[in-house]
Amino acid sequence: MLKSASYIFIVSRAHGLSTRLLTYDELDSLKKTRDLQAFIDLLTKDDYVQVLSTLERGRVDAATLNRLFSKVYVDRLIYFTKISSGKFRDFMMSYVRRLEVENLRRVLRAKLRGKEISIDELIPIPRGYTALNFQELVNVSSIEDISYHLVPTMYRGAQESISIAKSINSTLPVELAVEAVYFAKLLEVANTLPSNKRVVDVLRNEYFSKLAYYIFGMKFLEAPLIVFERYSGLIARNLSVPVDFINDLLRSREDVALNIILRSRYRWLVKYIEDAVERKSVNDLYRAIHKGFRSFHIDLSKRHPLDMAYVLWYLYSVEYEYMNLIQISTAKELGIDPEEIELY
Amino acid sequence: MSSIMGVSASRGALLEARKQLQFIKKSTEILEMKRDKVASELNKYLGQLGKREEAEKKIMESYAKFVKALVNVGHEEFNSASMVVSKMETKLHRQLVMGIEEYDVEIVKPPSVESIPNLVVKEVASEFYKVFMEMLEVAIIENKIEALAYDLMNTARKVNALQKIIIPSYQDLIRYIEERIMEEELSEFVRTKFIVDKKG
Repeated sequence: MLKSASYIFIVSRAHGLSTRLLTYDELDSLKKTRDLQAFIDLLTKDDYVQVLSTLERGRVDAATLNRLFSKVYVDRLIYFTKISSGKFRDFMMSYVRRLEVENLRRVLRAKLRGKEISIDELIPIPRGYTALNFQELVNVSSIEDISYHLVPTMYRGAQESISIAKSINSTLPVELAVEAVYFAKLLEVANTLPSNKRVVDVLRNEYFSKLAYYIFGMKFLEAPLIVFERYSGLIARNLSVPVDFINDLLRSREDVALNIILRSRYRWLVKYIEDAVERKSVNDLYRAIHKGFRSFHIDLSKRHPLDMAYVLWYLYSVEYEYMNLIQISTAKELGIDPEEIELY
Repeated sequence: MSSIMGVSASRGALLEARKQLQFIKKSTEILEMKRDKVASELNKYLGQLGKREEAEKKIMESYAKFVKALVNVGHEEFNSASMVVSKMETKLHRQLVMGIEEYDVEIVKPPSVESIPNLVVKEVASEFYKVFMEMLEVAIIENKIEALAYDLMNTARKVNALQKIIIPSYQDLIRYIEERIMEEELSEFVRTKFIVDKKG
C-alpha cells in the first residue's frame, strides 16, 4: 500500500535526526574518559554543546548534568512533536505525556509525606504539552489534594488509587494506575495511525517490559502484588492478553511466571531476564529489562527502516541516550572503572 | 600517747581500727564480686566483637550495590524515590547497672523503606537498613564493652589498692596499736609493781 506523504516525511525526519544521536563508539569513548570534566569536554555533539557551555568549568556535578541531559531529552521529544502533523502529531502529543507522568510521579512521592517540592525539581515541560497544572500541584499540601487536579485529565481513573496509596503509605498504586492510563491512551491513539500494527506491538512490548520489572521486582522484595490486581483488567486490555494471564503472572512463583511469559507473545523477554530472576536481584532485573527492550526495538527498526517502528526506535534511542549519559556521568563522579559501566 | 596515721594508740582507737578493717575487708569482697561479675559480662560481650568485621563487610557490599543503583537510575530518580521515606525515630535509654552506664537504642519508628516506589532504590534501601541495624547492635555492644572495660579497670585498681595498700596498712596500724597498748600495759604493770614493792 502506498504510504502517505506525512508518513514518509515523519519516517525520513526520524532518519535525519538519528544522525544527531551519539553513536555506540562515541558513548564508549565517553565511558573511557578520565573524569567528569574530561567527559564534558568530549561531549561535543550540537545538542549538548549548547546546554553544557553554560556550566562553569571544574565546578560541575553529576546531579547538575542529569538535569541538563533531561532538558536535551525533553527538547528532542518536543521538537519531534513540532515537526509532526495530523495523526502523527496526535500520537506524538500522547507519547510526550510520559514526561507529565514522570513529573506527576515526583509530585506524588513528595506529597505522600507532605514534603516540599519546587517546580525546578520537575522536568520542564512547555505549556501545551501537559494537561496538569504543575505550578499548582507543587503547592498542594497533601497527596489527597492531587486527586482534584486529576479529575479534569485522562488520569481521573487513577484517582481512587490515591486513597490506597495513602493507606499503604506508598505511591506505587497511583504510579501504576497513571502508567496504565497513559499506555491505554497512547495505544488508543496509536491504533488510529496508518499501518499501526508494528507501532502498537512495540508499545505493548514496552509496557509489558515495564510491567515485568514491577511484577518480578516486587516478587523478589516480597512486596504484596494486590495493588496490581485492581488494574489487571486495564493492564490486560493494554497488552491484549486475557485477564487470567495477568492474574497468573501476579500469583505465581518467579520460575512459573517465567514459564507463563514463555507461552505468550512476550517470550523474547525471558532470555534477558532469566539470570536476574535466578539471582533475585532487582538491580540486575532493571538492567536486563532495559537491555532486552533496547535489543528488541533495535532489531525491529533494522528489519523495518521505512516503518513507523523506526520513528519509535528514534524516540526510544533518545531516551536510552539520556539514560546512558546519566549512567556515565554518575559513574565518572563516583570514580567507577569504565569496564564496570554497562551501556544500554 | 604516741600516734600513727593520726590515730592515737588507745583501746578505743584499736576497736575503731578493727571495725574499719572489717568493713574494708567486706567492701573488698563486694568489689571482688563486682569485678568477677563485670569480667564475666565483658567476656560474654567480647565474643560478639567479631560482628563488627561482618557488619563492615556487609556495609561495603551494600555500598557497592548502592553505587550500582545510583549509576543505573541517576540522581533525580534516586532523590525522588527517597522522598517517600519517613524519618526514623529513636529513643536512647540510659541504664545504671552496678554503677555502670549502659545505653540502649530503641527504634520507635523505623524509616518506611517499604514505601519506596522505585524497586531498585527500595532494594538498596532495605539492605542498607538491615546493615544499619546490625551496625547499631555492634555499636551498642561496643559501648557496653567500653563501659564494662573501664569499670573493670577501675574496680580492679580499687581491689588491688585495698588488698595491697589499705588492708595491710590497717593491719599494720592494728598491730602497732596492739603492741603499743601491750607495751604501755607492761610498763604500767612494772610501774605498779615497783610502787607496791617500795611501799611494802
